[in-house]
Amino acid sequence: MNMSITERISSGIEGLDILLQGGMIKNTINSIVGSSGTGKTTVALAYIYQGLLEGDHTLYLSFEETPSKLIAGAESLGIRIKEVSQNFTELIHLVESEKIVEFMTNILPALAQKLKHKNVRHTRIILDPLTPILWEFPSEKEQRKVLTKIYQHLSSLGTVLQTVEEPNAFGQTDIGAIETRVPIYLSDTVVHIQNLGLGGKYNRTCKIVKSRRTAHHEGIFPMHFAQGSGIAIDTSSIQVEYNDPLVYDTRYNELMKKVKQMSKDKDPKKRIIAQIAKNLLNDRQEKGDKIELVDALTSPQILQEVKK
Amino acid sequence: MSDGFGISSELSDLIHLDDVEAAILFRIDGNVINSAFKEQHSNDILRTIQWCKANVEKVSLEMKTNNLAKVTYELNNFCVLFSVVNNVTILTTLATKTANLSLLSIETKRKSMLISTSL
Repeated sequence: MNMSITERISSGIEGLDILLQGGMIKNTINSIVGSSGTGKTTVALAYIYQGLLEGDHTLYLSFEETPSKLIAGAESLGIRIKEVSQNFTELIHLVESEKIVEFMTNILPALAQKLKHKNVRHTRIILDPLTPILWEFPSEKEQRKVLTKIYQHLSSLGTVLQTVEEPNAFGQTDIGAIETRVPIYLSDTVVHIQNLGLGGKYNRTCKIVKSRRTAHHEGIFPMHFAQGSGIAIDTSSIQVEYNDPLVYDTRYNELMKKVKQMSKDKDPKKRIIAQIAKNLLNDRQEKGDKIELVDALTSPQILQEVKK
Repeated sequence: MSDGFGISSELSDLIHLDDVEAAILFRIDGNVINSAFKEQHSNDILRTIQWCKANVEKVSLEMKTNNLAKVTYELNNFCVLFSVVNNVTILTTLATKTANLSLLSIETKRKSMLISTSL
């Protein structure tokens, strides 16, 4: 399995990109699973905010909350959506419950096709929460059929983040519950967020249940609501164990900046070199060596030779 | 020093004690927060760890209900000592059957207190 050719996007959540080895893979289905009050919608809002900052096209489909309520919630946590989006009222679309089936089976695929023809570079799609859709299709067989179709359309369009409500009894959570089984099974990445309601550092945590094509970090990591980013995940335990150059090494960051600049160059040769360098930098297996290689590859002498 | 590193160093200290095979910090729902193992551990210990993971929720509920600070089990040629760290976490020390339980109990309690300052 080659993990180096995957292009990733930032989730906008502090710490989550570290756990996912650089962020979410483009054009994948990512699920945030958690019971009520764990912070699923906050994650979704931070994700859309990051998209707005990066100039991505965004499509936020809310199946419960009104757009004004969601934006007010985001603003209260310091996620300044209003500041970065001029048409923030059109940013979030409320899908009424009686129209869910029609929307998901007819309107959404048509919308996906329309956006595809518009040549939109990349779209961040948010389904928040997916649970009412699952209720419309009680049998797992039907859920699988409908979701597979929806995911095919959406993942061809952009990177999907969906929130899934998890059944919660007496403060306990159940990731394997029937209600969450199908979306978990079909998702590329599943992030489980929990709140035991007992206080302390490990009361509210985040765990990567699965992430295809990613050597993600294992275990549970403390999580808390943070002013500005909405939610922050404490990854200090892994930051000490592994000095991951992908995130911490200033040299890596400098090179990445250089490579990004090169990828916009008029010269197609330089753009090819930039792509190779980007792929090399995304490979975390032999991080140290790869940084040296990219450094040499993007050196002015080599670029001069290529130009000749 | 980060909190995560503080916890791992406390767990590593524990496994340096004679007869201690593993030290695991569990959250009460069975999730592992941090762990340390003797370099050459036997395969038998894996079965015991699996048992700990499956039962930590039940044990912690029992400890909470009866206000117990520590509980000891003997199974699969190991003794397992559960010690409450805080509301959410529980320290589990796995040692061989021949371990000095009194000494182990004192040391586990001391480590629980030290770890609780990081949480």
